[in-house]
Amino acid sequence: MPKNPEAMLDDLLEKAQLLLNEVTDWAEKRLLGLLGLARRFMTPVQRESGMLAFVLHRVTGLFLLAYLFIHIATVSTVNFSQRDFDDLMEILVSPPFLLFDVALFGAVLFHSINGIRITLFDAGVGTRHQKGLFWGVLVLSGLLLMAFLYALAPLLAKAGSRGG
Amino acid sequence: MTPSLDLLDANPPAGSPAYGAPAAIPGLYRESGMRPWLMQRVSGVLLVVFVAIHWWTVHYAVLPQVLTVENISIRLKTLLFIIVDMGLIGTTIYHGLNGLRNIIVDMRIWPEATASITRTLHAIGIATFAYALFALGPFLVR
Repeated sequence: MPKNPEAMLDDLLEKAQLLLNEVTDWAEKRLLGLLGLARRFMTPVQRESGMLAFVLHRVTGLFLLAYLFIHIATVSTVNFSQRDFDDLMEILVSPPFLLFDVALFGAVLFHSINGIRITLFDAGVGTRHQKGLFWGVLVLSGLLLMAFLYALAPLLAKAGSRGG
Repeated sequence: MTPSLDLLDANPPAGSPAYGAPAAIPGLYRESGMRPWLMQRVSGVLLVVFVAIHWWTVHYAVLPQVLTVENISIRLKTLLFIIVDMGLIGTTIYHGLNGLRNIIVDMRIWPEATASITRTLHAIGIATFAYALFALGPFLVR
């Protein structure tokens, strides 16, 4: 027996309500997960060098992953015009991009050296000195970054003399 | 005592698993096994070598010059550099996307969908590698 329009509308509204409940439950669960993570980060007992190393490793990792996609996209422009590619490379050695290179190199250094530190811990080496080793990672990254800046100086001077 | 499963609980009771029993969150630990963990370490160590060679040859050894299609092609005429560049592309994509997967699994953003997320990241990785080969093509055939 066919339902009357009013009953069909009620049925439809009930289904829409159930769907909305499911969507809001799902969103609430996700949001609580993110809030939980933020709260764990903000909990003072965890705001120590171990946590800082963990967060820095992830932030630099995400930055490098984003850069990987940008880098592949930039190189792929050679397929469309080789002259445009050469012009683009000329732009990429201008001072603003060289400063970006410094940030990139810093992220690569920290992520690599801290990655070695993590791998050593996984092998059971040096876990007792994890905090000291973290500060060692920061100092070594800083020193190598300074060496990189020293090597980059001629290129910066050249870019500067061209008027940037 | 029942282990705490509250996602907001920053300090679980002493003696309980850190953030809930593994079996209590479907898909969380089942899909995050030994192999991705080991491969993340292996690809990381390889990357240190590949990135060092790449940076040195591309950005330091030719520092006074600006990179052009011409001088990049000369480098990519050598089998060693072709192997290094291909290895670098493959390991970087694997290491980056596996790292992203680790973060997603660790943050428990969507634990039930871990297997689907893994498959999606595999597809993104293969597509990115194919596009990277396309990007390098003109340097290799010159």
